Amino acid sequence: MMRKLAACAVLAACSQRPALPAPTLPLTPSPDATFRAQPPPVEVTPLTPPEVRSAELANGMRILVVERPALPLVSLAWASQSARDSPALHERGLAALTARALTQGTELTDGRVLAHLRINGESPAISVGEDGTILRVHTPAAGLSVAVEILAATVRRPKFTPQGIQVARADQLETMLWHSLHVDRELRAAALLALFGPEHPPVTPFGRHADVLSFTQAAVSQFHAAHYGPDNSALVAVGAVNLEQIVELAQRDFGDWPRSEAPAPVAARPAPLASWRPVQGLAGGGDQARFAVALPCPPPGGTPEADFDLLAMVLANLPLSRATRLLRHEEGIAYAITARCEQTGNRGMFWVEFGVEPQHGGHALALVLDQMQRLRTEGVPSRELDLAKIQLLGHFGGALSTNEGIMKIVTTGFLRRQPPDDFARWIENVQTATSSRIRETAKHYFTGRVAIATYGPRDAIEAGLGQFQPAEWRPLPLQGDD
Amino acid sequence: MIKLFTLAVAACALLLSVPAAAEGAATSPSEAHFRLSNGLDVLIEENHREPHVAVVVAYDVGTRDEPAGYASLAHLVEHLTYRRSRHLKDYAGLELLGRAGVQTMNGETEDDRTLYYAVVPSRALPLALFLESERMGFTLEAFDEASFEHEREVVRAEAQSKAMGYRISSLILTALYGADHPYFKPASPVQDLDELRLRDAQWFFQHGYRPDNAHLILVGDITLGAGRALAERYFGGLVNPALPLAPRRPLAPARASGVRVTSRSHDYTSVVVAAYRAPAYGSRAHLAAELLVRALGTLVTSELVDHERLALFLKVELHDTAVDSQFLFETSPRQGVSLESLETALGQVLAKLTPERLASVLHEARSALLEQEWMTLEDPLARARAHVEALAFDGRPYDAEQRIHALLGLTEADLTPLLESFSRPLVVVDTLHDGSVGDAGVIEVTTP
Repeated sequence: MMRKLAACAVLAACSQRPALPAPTLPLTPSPDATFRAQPPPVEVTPLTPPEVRSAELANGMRILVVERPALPLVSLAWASQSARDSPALHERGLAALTARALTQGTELTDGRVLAHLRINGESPAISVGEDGTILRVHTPAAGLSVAVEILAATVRRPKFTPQGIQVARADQLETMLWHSLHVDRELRAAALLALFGPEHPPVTPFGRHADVLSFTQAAVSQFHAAHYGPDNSALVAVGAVNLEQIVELAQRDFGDWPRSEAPAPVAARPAPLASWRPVQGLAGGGDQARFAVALPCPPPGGTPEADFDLLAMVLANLPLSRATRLLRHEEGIAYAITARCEQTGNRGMFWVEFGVEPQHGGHALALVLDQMQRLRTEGVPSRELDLAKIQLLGHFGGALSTNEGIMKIVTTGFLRRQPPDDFARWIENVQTATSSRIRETAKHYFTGRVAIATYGPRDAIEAGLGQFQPAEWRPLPLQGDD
Repeated sequence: MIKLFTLAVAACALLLSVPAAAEGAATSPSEAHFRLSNGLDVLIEENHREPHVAVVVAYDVGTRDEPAGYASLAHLVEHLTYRRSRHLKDYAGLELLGRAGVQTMNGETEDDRTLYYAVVPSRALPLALFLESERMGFTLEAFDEASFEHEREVVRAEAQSKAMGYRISSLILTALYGADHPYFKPASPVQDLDELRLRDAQWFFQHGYRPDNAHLILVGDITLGAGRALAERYFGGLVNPALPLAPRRPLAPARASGVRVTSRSHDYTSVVVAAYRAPAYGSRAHLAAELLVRALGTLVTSELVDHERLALFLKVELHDTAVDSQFLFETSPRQGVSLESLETALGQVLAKLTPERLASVLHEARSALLEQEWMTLEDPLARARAHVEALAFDGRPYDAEQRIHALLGLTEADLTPLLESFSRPLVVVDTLHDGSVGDAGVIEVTTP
């Protein structure tokens, strides 16, 4: 039996609506208590950053360890500062292709080759960007020795076969396609396009399709030979392990890896704004207009980094942040509004993202941009700033309470060439932020030159956008589209 | 063939024997489970690894308790409880938690329950309990027309932002359970929203948000004695409404078999979701199913993603409800691969699973599951949530030690009978992008 139904027919068939009984009185029968007159006071708990112990092998490879013996687990990563995405547009994607190809054929010390590498049922997590490459695994402590061995073999002795490169290339192209299917990623791409123009590296974070197709096996091998080495790399371990154990294992599996001829990492130049077409539209379906607002923010390091983390909290992210208060609690037109300064290489991008019903799009955008302008001209009152500080440090404390969270922070810090205990400096920068310092930072970056991208039903969005009409519209690519 | 062999080598290389001492250290939390005189179920797990406590209040009321024609009522009530209470002005609770350094907090409306959670520094535990007790005992009198209308719009905005994920869930649950079942989900979560009234929300709150219908779970840096005293202080004086606690509507297990649903929508990428019967929560067979899910993740991914290169990804999980469970497979085709061929290939891979193939990845799967078990010890909120599920489905707190012992005792003989489930899917849902259909999309249902 087959039946074809319009969705509305399903709805109609299911609509039966008995009236509900009235609530009983009193609505809240609980008696009052004197202690309820005042909420219990809370003394803020100071944040204690974990200790990062470090060592260096004779070949220059760094070892970074955070000892957390309570659970028999270890998070393990190998990170390289030099195996990073090239600033040259036509080379972007080669670092990612090389990293993907690593897991398509790795030779162990006994000559066995691992294809489609899995450790504990999962492929090692790989991330590649302008800061470098990270390969990450988790293992029970009892499996640490084998995990280090496999990780070392993976980064040192990959078998780059034509078939393995093809598989890695296909995976990378699929990933590029997959990313293009996510509305929020496409929105970001459109906003970057509006800020920088089509020929600029931030616009093609995964490389361009034609370039990825053109990278040869020789190019991958050459990239590996030139950029994978002990210098500018680190083995990071967090969990039930101590520094001495990791040094011993690293010496065993990485110690005879000769210093490479890897070129010293060169700091990427800050990206200039190549073009500026403020609003981009992506036509699609649904009942909502999604927005991404983008502008440059500080590169990693220094007080501006902490200031922007605080500005993001003041503006969005929290239940009582300014934009959340306005769009959700006062106007009732949005659910969640997020803001974040994302840093990579030698630059940062500040993102504000939210969704509203299309008819409210222009109004919501105006409110958000007005709040950014106010942060620039009026700064942040100290009570509001204190709340942002406490919440920011509370969230950071959450990240520091797990092996995985610590691993991510330590590894990212290494790739950014920050000292191992740099998060202590960041904590101090957050704690010492003042209203005037925050205002100066906002003044420097909130210049009004922002890019905006919107996605949703075009006609409805246009009707509600008012002054923010897109300079151009294009359809969102969908799976299977050419 | 060579690749499969080498994969097995990798797995065996990581075959791990669990040190007994580590196992004991990881799984011996101290806990207390008791009821207050008003019926509130309290569970405290003492765990001093980090100076934080997870506070979870779970009410045994969720979307399955919405009467027909009242979709979104449970979600709307959840939103209303954040607004104010007898002793707290608008959103004061949110600000107080923020100033206390809360790590994470939220509310979730699920099919079977409604959860409120926060992870706070242990010094802020009294405040977190004060706020949750305000929600339970003194929120309802602060519901009013203005906040009701306001939250109606916020719920609408939230539903729109999550529309795509909801759609698949609606298709699967409706096909599994039928339109007259408490787990039925309408195609649009907001279809009844405009018809809801303040008095509906008041009735629903009294119906479900009450001490004798709730669980308070505390996990983390708290002693059992202090936790008990705080629970008594803040919740002991709360009184249940005069309205008797009504029994919930009975649940029947999924009765679908061989149902095929094709959904065409202009805003969808293409995905295949297939549901197969699994043993219900709480049994040894269910634990075997958890292990099987891990093993299938490796085996089926290896086939469909790595070797056949038909799928972009494959996700396998157990979907547990209060009455039954299903294996859920979700996968998406690579470019040029049709949904039908991917669906067929998935069926074929499952059909040719043998005990020998399972045995080849069993140790690896067990290792991954043990690792996951330990990781919950690092995460007080994950522990608290595990307790909530165990109390709801099994009537007992989550017992990691017992689970680990049982897990170590499972063999392929425990997994093999479960393969029978894959002889026929309960439901297969294909969601297909089709730019030519209207906003509502088109759904085709084929039943055998």
